[in-house]
Amino acid sequence: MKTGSFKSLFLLSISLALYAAEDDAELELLKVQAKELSQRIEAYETKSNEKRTAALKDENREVRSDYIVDDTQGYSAPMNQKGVLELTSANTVLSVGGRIQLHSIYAWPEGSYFAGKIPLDDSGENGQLIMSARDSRLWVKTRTPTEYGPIRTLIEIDFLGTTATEINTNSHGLRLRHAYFEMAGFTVGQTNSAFNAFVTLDTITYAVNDTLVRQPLIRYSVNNRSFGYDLSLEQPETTLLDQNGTIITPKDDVAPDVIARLRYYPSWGETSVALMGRYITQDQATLSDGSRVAGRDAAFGWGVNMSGKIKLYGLDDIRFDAQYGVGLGRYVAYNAFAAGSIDADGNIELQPAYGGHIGYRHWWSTKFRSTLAFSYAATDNDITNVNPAARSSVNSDVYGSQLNLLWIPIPNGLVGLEYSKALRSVESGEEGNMDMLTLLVRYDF
Amino acid sequence: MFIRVLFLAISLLSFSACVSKDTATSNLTTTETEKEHKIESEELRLLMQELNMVVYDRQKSELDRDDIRRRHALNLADIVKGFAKKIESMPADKLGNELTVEDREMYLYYAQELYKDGEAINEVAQNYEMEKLDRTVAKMQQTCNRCHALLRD
Repeated sequence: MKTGSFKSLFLLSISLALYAAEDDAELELLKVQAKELSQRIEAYETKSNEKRTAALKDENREVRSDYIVDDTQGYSAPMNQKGVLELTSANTVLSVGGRIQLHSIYAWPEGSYFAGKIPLDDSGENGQLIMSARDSRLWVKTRTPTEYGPIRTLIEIDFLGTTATEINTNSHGLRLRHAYFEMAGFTVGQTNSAFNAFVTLDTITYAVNDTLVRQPLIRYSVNNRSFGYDLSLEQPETTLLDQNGTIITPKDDVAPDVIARLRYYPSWGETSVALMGRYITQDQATLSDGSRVAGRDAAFGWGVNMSGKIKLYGLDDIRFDAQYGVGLGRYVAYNAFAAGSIDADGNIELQPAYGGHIGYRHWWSTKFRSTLAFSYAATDNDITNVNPAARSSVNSDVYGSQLNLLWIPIPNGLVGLEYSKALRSVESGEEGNMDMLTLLVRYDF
Repeated sequence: MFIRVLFLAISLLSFSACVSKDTATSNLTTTETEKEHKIESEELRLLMQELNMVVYDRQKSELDRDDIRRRHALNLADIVKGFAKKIESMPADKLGNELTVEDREMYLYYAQELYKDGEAINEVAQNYEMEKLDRTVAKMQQTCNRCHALLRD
């Protein structure tokens, strides 16, 4: 590319020099120098041509560049995907993967960060260390081409089943997370509800208003490049608050929960809106004190959930989720609130529940990031139906906040430290709060 | 004295020739194509970083994550193919003033390779063959690097 310039400049130099030369001796000297320069240019041209040839022919040569790849700015080499074991048989591709995760938690006082379990007093011990690898996971997925497109399956388990003692072996039980297949737009089996927040916070603990339900469902989805939508029929489960301040599950449901969700992926982020309708029923339900109501009743509940992510500079973003519904119940805040209340005659009164969270995620570098998040969830209980003595077990509202620092030491690895604080209020007027420090070490394989 | 003048002249002109080499590179980076390419490169970087971050997405099943990867891969293929097409249809004088005919040929050769890489990524994503995504993206990365090594570095 530059040899043409070199030649022109060389000739110009020589012309000027000749003009300046006074005698033959100088001229001879110039000729020698000119010859040397000419040889150097030839050597440069040869080298340059060799470079081009090598670039074309050497297909396996690895070259680093300041663009695209692992570079001075520290970007990881693109695509370090997992699913390391791949078995192919009769057109089916089987992949196995999972994650190993260790949680180490200090809490003041001891308790759980889930909305309905935040301690109401400080009688619990402070600063106890709890370590657990139970949230490690294992999954197996397959993909088989068919005339209707690929059929994809997934089974995923973790170890949050039956709790074992910490004395000797910590032999915790397996738990089914996902078991479903997808084909021609249909999803059949157990997996995440379409009502769940489509965008979640990049935190270690959950937002107090989290919408996370996994259940058996049949869903039809349409996916396009910039949008998608789902129509889902999902397992119903009525939860009602009885006079003893206990949330009961009558197990009398007759119709699936129906959820429609729209997903949108604009250039500025992504967002989704989910609408849900559900038929809350009880038929001679048994209350928490063992008594059985005589009648039956039903009511129509509904809810809306909107979540999204707004991209800011680089990979920074703001994430949010807000929901409101009457009879929302178990779909928000991990069942901290009931869908409604049931009186002694079996009448159902649905109650509103609502919540929201917002978080800002900032990247300090390509390996370090932080999220600061706030969340809130509340409900309007029909408190007249609950005995005054039992009101301390009926949640009214919950606040939460998190601040973390997450580090990616290696691709698919994660080390994180998070401080979280939560506050819970109940209908008796009592309040409690807890502080928690969580260290997470995780590797996805 | 005139020897000194001569030495000075040659030195200055040689230096200017070296500067000319660098200028040639910076001229290349100031063409519209290059400006657009820088923007697209940044988009690619962010997309790849997002792809690498999918593994950390919470409350998603592995198939959900594959859907997200697929969406990112399709976007990536679009950007790559779009840029390759832009180069192929670009008039010679807009590719960079200092490019020789030989360089232009190489530039177009790599643009064609890049287009093929984009097609391969698109095909893998369309068929949900996510286990092949690493390889196809690596191939695209190789094409980018070779082109940069020859024409930019």
